Amino acid sequence: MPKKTAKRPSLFKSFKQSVFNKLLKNKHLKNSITLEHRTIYVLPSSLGWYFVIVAILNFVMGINYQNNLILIMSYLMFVVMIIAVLMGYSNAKGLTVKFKDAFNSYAPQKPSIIFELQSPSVTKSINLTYQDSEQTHKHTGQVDSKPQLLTLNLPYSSRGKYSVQRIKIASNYPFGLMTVWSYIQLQEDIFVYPSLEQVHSDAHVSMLDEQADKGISTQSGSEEFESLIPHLPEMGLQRVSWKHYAKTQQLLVKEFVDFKIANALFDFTLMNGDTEQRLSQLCFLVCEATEKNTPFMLKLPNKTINTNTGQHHKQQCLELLCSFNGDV
Amino acid sequence: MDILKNEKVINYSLSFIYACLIVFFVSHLPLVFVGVLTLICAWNFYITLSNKPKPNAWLANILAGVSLGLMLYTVGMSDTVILFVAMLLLASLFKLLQAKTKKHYHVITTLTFFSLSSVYLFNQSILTTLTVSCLYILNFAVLGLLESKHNLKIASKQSGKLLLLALPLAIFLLLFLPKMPAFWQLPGPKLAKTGLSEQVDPFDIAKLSNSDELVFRAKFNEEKPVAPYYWRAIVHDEFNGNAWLTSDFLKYNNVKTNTQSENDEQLIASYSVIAEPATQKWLYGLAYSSSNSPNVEGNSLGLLRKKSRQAKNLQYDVNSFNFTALPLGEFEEKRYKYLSNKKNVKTSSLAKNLKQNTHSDRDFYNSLLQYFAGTGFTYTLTPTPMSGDNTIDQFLFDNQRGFCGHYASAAAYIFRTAGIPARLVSGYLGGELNQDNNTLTVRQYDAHAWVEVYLQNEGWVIFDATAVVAPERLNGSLSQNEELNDEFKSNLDFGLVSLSNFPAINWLRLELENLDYQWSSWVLGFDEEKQNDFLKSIFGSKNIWLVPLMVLLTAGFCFIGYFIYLNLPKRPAKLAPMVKEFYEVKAWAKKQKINTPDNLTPSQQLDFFADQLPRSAQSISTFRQLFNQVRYGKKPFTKERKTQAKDLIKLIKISK
Repeated sequence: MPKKTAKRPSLFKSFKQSVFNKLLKNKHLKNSITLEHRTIYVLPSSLGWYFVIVAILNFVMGINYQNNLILIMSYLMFVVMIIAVLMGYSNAKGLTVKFKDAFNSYAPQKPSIIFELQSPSVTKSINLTYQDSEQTHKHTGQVDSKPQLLTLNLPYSSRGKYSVQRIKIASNYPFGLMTVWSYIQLQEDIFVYPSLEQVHSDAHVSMLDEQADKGISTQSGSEEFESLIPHLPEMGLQRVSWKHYAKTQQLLVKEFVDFKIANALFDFTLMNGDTEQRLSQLCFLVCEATEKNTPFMLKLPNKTINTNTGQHHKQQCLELLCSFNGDV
Repeated sequence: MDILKNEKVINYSLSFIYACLIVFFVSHLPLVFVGVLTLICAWNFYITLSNKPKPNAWLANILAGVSLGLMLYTVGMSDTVILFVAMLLLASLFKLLQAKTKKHYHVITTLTFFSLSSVYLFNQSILTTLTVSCLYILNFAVLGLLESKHNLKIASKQSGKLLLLALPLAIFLLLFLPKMPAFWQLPGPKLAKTGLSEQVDPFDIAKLSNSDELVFRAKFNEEKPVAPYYWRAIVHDEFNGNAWLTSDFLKYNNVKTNTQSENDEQLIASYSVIAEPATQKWLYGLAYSSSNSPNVEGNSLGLLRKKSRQAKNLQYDVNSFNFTALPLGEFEEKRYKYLSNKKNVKTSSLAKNLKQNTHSDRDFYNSLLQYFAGTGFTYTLTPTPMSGDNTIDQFLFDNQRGFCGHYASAAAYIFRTAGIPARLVSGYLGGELNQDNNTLTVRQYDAHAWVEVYLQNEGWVIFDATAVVAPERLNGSLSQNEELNDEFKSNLDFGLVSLSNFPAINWLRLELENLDYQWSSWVLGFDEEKQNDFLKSIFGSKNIWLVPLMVLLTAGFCFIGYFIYLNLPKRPAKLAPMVKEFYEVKAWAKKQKINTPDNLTPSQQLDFFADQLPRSAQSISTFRQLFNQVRYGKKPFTKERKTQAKDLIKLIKISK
């Protein structure tokens, strides 16, 4: 339903929100919801209201002209309305909507949430809507006992940390006369990371870690060729230098090492441009460093994350970048 | 949400519905306007067919403005109901022409529900009802299509099912919900009808009785009176030289007084009449009629009138009495003898001649009948139009061909010239009697005009020259009249009546007639009074308060029952392969009176059967192997295996 919620005065909106929360009694604060008597709401849709108005008009016309045929049409419309309530309710009942996964995104891409839908009996025509908006809307024609995945895009395209709002699960089955709906309110935050802005020069990377001896400390790794050593039976054949074998009939094994790269420090103050640009650059650096497995430290004006590496560290840093709201 | 999946089909269906609606209203709307509507409808068809984009808003709005002006100009403001219908159709069609989003289509479909109902304002026949019901189903299907991806067939099926489900309950509500009186008086639709009018001028009519439209039906309660039936509708008392009119005096000074005390008079018949919708106020009755029905009033002339102009079927009960022989008042007598125009000189001298040769009014009456019988008059449905100020002379002495209006007009003139009070009455003569249900059907072509003459000591007496010119006309309807049949039929617009020569079609026509009678009597005529009787017959007059309770309970039970049905656990999924076949064998074994112990596996059970029935042991063990292969050996249950299993079962059963 196209609603102009954004144009409403915020006071009214917040009041509505609080009333809603009170009414809903946190029934929907779950990551998985099965629609049942307590959590299904039924009201005529806008079409339903038109329909009722026309039914009333027909009734008035039928009464005033004492016309049985018009009257019966009017009664028919009312009965259909009630049947639509029953059908709509029975249709939605039993549907399970389960939070499956959240995909954070880099601005300006939009994050998305994946739900798993399942229903013991067949449930028809289900819409998932986020914040009553046309753009963030997903429709599926039919849900049955086979789990079905549905991806819902969220309408956030600028950097930030967002808590996921209530998501409406609605159906207009069978004739669009009734809206049968429920909510699922996830306890999840979703992030839109800063956009990736490529940084070419290394100048801004502070080599704070001078004491970490650059290029000396070695550990066996896979990056750089170090030397050839004689093959031992337990070594396997993957790293045998066949070139040498062909020349010398001697089994030699190539030995590689990784140079322990100096720890990097990504400092907000060393970036160029305005806040968003700086964050974007930092974001790029964090991603690149994680890819290269370089330990790094992230320094923002108000917070610092200590040197570390790995996905978890990256996640932590990105989340920090998302929620940064200071100025230069 | 706003993406339409079936826009094309939806457009087709809605265009079709509106095309049908236009056809329904063709006879009520001006032709130019019908043309405009048809054009828009066709345009929409064309756009859909050729996948062209819909016209832009500017063009459509300008066109809508122009059409609106045209509508106001052609339809006019006089008949508000038809104006309203015209506006509704025009608005819906233009909206359809511009509709792009789901919301637009929602508005159109809901409006269509209203447009469809308004058809019933003008026509409530069975055929119309059936057609409109089909269109209702289609409209619901469109609603369904707006929501789902189904095709039209599935959607119509669904909506048909839903409406069938809802219909019994709606009928129930109609029967039992107390009928309310009209909230306010709405203007009734004005129906253009041919038939009677307050002015009878037979001389400029060239073609007559070409309508087989139903006027009313009468059902006699007990014995039906003796034919002919003169159904009186209007009395004309003023002759203006050409036409007979109803004077204003008569229109407004006919309040019923008690001079005609009904108790004294002989009751001829009591019957009930169902009159078809008509805008005129007059109703129909035999002789001196009076009615106790609430919507009907009688007047001192013994005529019946509607109390309010309502364009719908009206059912009323009538008691008909003979006219009294009470003397006329002086003023009345003068009025019924008065002729303002005496330019028909020949006719006047004829009247004087007759008067001189007769001794009493009764004598005069008889000799005038003789005159009409003897002088070569013929009855025709296609008279030659006459003009001038001595049309009666022309008719009586030159032309001598005419229909009832001519004869009545001339006769009334003669009577008045002779100083005998006379008046012209128009109404209907006869009707077609259905022997099965004792019902008389009167159609427009039964329209008739005759003269009522006041004879001393006898009161008002019918004088019908047609009776001697074409006596067959008196008995039954024109449709049953042998002699005039051909002329009558060639005159009629094409219809079932014009085919009544064929017995099968005639039978069909009579059956349809009967059905139509039941329809208007029971469905259309089910009013407050009938409902009261109906409820009293069920609950008794003391327990009428039970009705609302019963309505609520029944409706509640219906809905609860339906709800339970909807939520019934669905049947378990299909049985695994071979299980059905196994049960079949088991059932057969049970028939052979083998008691299988409960604690055996299917395999063991089959072995057990084989032991017990050595003759079919072979087949049973093969069946067991197959069963094990499919159920436990993960072999697919192919068609071959299926037929093998079937064959085995047959073998097992045969080899007793």
